[in-house]
Amino acid sequence: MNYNEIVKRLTPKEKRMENAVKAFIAGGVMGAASEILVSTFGIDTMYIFWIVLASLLTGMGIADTIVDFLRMGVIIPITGFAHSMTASALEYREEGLITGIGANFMKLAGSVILYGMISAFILVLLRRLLWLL
Amino acid sequence: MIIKSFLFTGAVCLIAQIIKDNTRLTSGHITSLFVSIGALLGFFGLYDKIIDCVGGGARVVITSFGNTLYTTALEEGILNMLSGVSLGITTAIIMAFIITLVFRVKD
Repeated sequence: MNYNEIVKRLTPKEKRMENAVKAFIAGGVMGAASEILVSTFGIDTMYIFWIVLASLLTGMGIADTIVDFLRMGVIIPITGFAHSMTASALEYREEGLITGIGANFMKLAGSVILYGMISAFILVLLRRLLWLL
Repeated sequence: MIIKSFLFTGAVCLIAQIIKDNTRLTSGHITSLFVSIGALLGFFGLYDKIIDCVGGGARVVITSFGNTLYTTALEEGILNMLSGVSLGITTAIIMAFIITLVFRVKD
């Protein structure tokens, strides 16, 4: 067996396909469950349910296994936001309340809030300018 | 609506997974990118139509965060833009803090 064949055999091509299918199904199940939650309990309850669930699973140490398996299927919904916050807070817990938890709390979630706010800011300004014309 | 939610959320996660597997971007890059895309879809008035059509599935993905920021900024003023998403952020912060105090990292 020559080098090229080995490379071809070891390239994770099917794994990409598998990841994509898993992300699609996991995301789909989350979306369908959210729709059920919204129509039975309302929008706020849906958000609270997912955030509390994601934080609890992260605290119990189960979330990392789930994320490794389902990938973007659970990162792109709101659960990923809650997971990143709890995970970084837990990780730096030993370094103290201020320099540990406080300083690292928003490590990933902060960029979501920052770029969301900046995008909204720029787009609203743009919208207002277009109205003036 | 449930099937539409399944397909929409699944498709968004599928796109994210394809980007993740084929580029060097991390999940942090992709979530930030998707928030901006959500705000952009809100700017063109598309995201509210998607929510009307799809329902809960369109609200649970992170693109909805960007859209809510944009719509709230437009309706209630730019400096009040966080009021639309404050429920999610506040719940996440309080829960994360309580969980951090209660649990320890196991490794």
